[in-house]
Amino acid sequence: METSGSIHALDEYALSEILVRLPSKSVLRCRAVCKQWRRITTDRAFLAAHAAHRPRQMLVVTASLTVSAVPLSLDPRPADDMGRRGYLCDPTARDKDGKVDSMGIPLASLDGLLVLRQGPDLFVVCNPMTRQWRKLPALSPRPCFQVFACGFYLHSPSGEYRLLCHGDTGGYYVLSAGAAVPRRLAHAPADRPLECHPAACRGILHWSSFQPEATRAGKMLAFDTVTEKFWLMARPPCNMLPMALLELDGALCAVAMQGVTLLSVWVLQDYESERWTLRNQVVVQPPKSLNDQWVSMAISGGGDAILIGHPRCSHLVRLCDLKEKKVRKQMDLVSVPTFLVFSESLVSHGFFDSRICSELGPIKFCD
Amino acid sequence: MEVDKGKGEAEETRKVAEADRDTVTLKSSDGKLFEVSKEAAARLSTVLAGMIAGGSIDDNGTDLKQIGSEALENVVDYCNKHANSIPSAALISSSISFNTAPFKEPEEWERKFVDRLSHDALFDLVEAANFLGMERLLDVTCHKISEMMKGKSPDQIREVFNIKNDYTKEELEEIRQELAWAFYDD
Repeated sequence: METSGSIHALDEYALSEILVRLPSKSVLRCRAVCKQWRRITTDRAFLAAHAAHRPRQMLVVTASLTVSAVPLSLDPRPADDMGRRGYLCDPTARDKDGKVDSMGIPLASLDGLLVLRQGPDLFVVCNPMTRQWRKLPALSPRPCFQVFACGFYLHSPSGEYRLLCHGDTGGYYVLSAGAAVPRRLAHAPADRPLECHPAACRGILHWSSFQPEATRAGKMLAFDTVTEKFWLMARPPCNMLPMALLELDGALCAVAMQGVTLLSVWVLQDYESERWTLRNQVVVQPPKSLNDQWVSMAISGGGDAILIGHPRCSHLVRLCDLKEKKVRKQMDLVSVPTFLVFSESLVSHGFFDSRICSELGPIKFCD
Repeated sequence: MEVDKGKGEAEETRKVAEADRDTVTLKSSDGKLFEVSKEAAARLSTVLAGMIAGGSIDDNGTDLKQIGSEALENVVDYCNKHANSIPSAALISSSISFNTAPFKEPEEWERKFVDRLSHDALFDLVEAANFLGMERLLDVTCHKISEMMKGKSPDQIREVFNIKNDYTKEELEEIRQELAWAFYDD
């Protein structure tokens, strides 16, 4: 019987307003409550809204090679961060004796999807919340033996999730989730950027790391995900230092330490004319260890906060408030910070629908 | 017509209101009258803001036939508390937060405000907030109800909210198998 003052009196809008606030696992459980709740919680618009409201987390790789997510928040004491990390998956393949066959390092994270490497030439796209995964089109044994992932993005005109790769025989390839075969890009530079982790801004990927052509010209490499054209563009004026690119307020920015205590942020004020201007400078306390002082990775925290670090040398992550001009917090994550932002999503994707290939190594999830 | 005297001498307030019009009078489905700050009502409710702007506010009590007196009392109470509450420092400095989710955490007084409500009153308030276009109150009440669902099994949720299971045994088993891992405890 429908009575006032019960959950039955609510219209579907109000009910979905309640359910959209639940964590992913609770949403999945709600599908078993009744048919109406299942209909609401499987609706595309509901799932998109749910994903848009999940808190942002950062992926970390633990000493045992599992992938976890650390909440990105200002408030909790550093000690709390450690306790609140959530185990996502263990993508590392091991043989019978537990010896590591191949490390499943997360290479990219976008819209709740992870790209994992499951071998020198095998990439997998995975949603740790729905526990679905699928192999991306293979580039080996032909035409390449070694494949390097350059960037993962949503191709907005087609709605396809795509991995841009570079093969050891030279040449760039696009691996679309759900496609059967890789596609070679006709007009592309011969060499790849030294490191992955491009900064995406305006549908364009930007790499600040060494790339022969770009470095020779004193520039950096950029790739338009829609037109599939590469070009070289002006670097920010911090050439010789480790530097991190990120998007802030819709603009491409670069972060670098100039010396031990001066953090500088440049912004590409006018994208077309490639004019960089100094955006912020913050004097920071020198960290205890020299390893902790560099910045080669940065992510935005919304507002005026950025998270900076140099994961190759240090597990320390510093939260820098650009407005207040100070470091708000330092966190030793113990695990390797990937500077990949992850937020849960239950949005369904057609490419997950086909059955899982038997040739794939198992990805273990928590139970 | 009955005037709710418990709500700060509503009759008196109404006389003052009619003089300088800084409050509006709302009438519940069961005919009770409530005074609410015009400024707060316009700020917190898109529906009331539209009525105030459109001049469709009745000085003798604007009829809100869809809302019972208990829910309306809570709505008015919330508006008046909100009008008096000084935005907390936490809210002002929250521009820096990694939780970019648009759902703002309820403030301490809002938490207390919904914590004292019964289940029934809470659902009535969600309905009223929904009807009056009160986004913030909807946020606070929906947050409270979702907190009550977190970590519960489907059986427990059905029990707490008195929901009928309309699945067949086979259908339920299929869902359980599809999402087996989601049914383990956290």
